[in-house]
Amino acid sequence: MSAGSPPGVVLDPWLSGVARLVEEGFDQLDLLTAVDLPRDGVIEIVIHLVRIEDHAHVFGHVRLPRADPVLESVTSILPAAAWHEREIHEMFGVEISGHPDLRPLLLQSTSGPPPLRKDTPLVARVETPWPGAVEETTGRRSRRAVTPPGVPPEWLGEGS
Amino acid sequence: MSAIPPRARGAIALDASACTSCMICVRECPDWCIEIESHTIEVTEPGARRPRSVAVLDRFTIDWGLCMYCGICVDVCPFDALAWVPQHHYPGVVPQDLRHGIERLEEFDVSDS
Repeated sequence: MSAGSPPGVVLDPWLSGVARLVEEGFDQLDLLTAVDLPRDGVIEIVIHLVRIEDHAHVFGHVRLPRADPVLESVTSILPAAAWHEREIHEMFGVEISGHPDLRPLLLQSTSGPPPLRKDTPLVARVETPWPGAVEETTGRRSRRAVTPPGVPPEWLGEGS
Repeated sequence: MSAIPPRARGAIALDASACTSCMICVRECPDWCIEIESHTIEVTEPGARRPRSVAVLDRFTIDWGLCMYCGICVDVCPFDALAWVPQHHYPGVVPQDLRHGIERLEEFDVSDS
């Protein structure tokens, strides 16, 4: 299944596309984030810009290859994007080219897999026994393979 | 002070007599905050040829520290054993106090909603 195109305009190349919107007066950065779409093999970058004078707003996006995502930094035109780009860098493993300071923003260590990639195991989901594994007829923990929805089977160890 | 609207999502009340321990709410909960323990007993009704297996609810727990008040459990319950009530004041001193069992979940007043 492929995700439908999000609303807004495709900004490819990214930096000049964002610059064009800023020139059109959309100079208030409201949101800059990423969405991991493993089925499409892409990381989608989403920006939401607001034009103060007429309350107009616009979404822009670009798709980067999941295997080697590199995003041009827009800090030269929108300095407020710096923190958002640091967050995208550490949470999605996206390289940001031309960023002045890519120190980790929220994470203590960026050595592990990027936390917001969908294939990064969620520790709590791995360690917590799923309460739904209890058999409704016997009240005992099921020996059948009952797996919680939304949790890939390979995450589940012996604890569940 | 304005009154709390009757449809406010304050807490989820349990009607244990309606619960059949079917586990649907437990399995649908995205936060894994509901736990059910039950056992089955054989009940022979007068006139029935064979005894019938009936689930007896032993434990029903909602952990309000995990619950994100999405209401999926209320929506999926086929027996209307769960219902929203506007009561919202049930603080706990320690996290364990936010795990409510059958007694406390039944105390929430459904007639209030």
